[in-house]
Amino acid sequence: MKNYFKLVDFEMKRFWKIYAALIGLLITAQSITVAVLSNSYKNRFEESYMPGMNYVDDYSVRFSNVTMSDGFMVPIVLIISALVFYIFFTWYREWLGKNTFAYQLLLLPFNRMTIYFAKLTSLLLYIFGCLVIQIAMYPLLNTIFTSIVPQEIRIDQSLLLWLSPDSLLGVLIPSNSVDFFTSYGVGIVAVSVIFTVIILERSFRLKGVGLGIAFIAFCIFLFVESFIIGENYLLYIQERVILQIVSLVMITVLSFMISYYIINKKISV
Amino acid sequence: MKFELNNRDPIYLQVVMYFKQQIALGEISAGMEIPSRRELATMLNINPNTVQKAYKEMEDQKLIVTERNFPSKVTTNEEVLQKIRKDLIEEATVQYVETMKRIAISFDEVMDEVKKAYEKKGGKHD
Amino acid sequence: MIDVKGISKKYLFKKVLKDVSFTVKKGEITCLIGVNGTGKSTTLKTITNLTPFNNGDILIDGISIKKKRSDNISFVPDHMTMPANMKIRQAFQFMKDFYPRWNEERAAELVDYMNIDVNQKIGALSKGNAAKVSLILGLSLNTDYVLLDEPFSGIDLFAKEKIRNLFSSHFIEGRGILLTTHEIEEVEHLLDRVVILNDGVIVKDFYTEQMRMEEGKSVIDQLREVYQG
Repeated sequence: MKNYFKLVDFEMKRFWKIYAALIGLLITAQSITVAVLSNSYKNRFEESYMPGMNYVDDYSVRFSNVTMSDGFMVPIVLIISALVFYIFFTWYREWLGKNTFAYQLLLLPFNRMTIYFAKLTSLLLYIFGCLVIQIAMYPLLNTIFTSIVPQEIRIDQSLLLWLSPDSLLGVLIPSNSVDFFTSYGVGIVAVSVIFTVIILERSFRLKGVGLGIAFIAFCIFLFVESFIIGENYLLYIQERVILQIVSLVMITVLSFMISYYIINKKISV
Repeated sequence: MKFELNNRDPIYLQVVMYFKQQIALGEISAGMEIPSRRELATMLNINPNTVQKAYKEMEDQKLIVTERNFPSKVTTNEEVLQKIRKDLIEEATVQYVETMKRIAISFDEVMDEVKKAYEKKGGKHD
Repeated sequence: MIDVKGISKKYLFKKVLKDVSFTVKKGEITCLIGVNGTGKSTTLKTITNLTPFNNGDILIDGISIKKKRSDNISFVPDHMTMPANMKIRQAFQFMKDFYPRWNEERAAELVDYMNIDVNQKIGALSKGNAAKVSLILGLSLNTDYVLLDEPFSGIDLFAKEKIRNLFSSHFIEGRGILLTTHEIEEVEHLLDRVVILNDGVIVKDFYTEQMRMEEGKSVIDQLREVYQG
């Protein structure tokens, strides 16, 4: 257990500089976007304002206008891309370059599955870190918005309404807990599967990729089956949800088991 | 004399020979403490196991003596020391004579050569 | 004792190791010799669980590595395996954090002996210094067995001398050493035992002093026989 925590600490320290840069970029880009857009709304209004005109219909803005904009979304997409890249990079970096750190990791005097869990944990911590930071930024960004945009054209919303379910943000920061567990639950399962495929590739190379694809297909099959069974047996909604969760748990356990065996017995440097 | 080893003869025997030569030359004196196994291994740059074998051989040949709880010392036994000198002299001589015999020169010529070589080296001869 | 029993390994369709058997005893320096590509590195990697094998077994002090990976072995690879942006002392800290067998005092002794500045970044080290650091990392673990993959390859004369001297020192004494090399001239006089590997097969396995005593042959003579028939 102790080794697990030490390894998580080690993995996190390796990536934190890039992570900090990404977060810095997020904060800067979004703050600037909010400020610039707020200013443009304000100016647009003030330039065209004539007493007696109906400005509500033509000039009113909500905070969600800002959050849907490119300047706001692009840094988020960037961070998502970086984290997706990191899912692969966290493993492949150990074999890249002339100093193959994979030797050191695989020689550590404890079960190699600890490495798997440490990398998974660090990744998840980084992802949730981003979430927390983005959520924490909201009130602050909103303050910038409300302080620049004149009250006449501003429509203030509650936090939850900003996150409409059909926007990217709505998916990333779901407003209800069920959606949260669904999105992120599936996400974690997907990462576990990807990790397993990576370990298969590192152990069996080309044959491993083949095995990996077969494994992914099987996992998808399991997940889809859970829906189909629900349909065919006309199960209640709660029962269907349980079935889906069971399939996800099975996939995760299978990923762990396969990874455990392969990384301890079959992997090669 | 510097210790130069070849890789065809057992190294441990070469070490024993080296010790004998050093004793005969007076570089190592009777009763002198010999270096530890590891020290000698480092000095000669060989495997400590080889030194171990050499020391055992030297003990068997009574070249060194070990008292309990004391480091090993070169023997002070005059008989043994003299025998070492004699053995070395005999070996060198035999080798020389064999070489000379192959060249087929007379005994007197050999003695002349020996005298000349001695004089060159500044040694006295009777 | 490290007991390698009938190891075979296939890589793609080629048999890289064929029925390889030998032992490494504590207190002895054993050398695995062969030209490049004959499976020397692969053999070391099978012993340390860094690559799997198809047949046979490897026992370390009686326990099969298939059952449990041994922590009584230290491996010094033929290249630096710590990240380039890490400082040497950070690498030491890494070892200290994760290895109960890490011996801090011995590491400090070796740093002194090798004259290394631990504040340097690993990526900035010359090949010779990197080799020295790899050695320090491996030798500072309190293990009975140390495996070294080509410890003399591609490094300068003076670094080689320093490394060679280690083999007569207390850092190595009493431990079971297995090293691979294809530069036999430099180390012949240090070896207790030699195992010659050719094309994945063991062709000769002998004790050096015994070979000298019985046949008057050096290790190089033996190699010559193997390669020139």
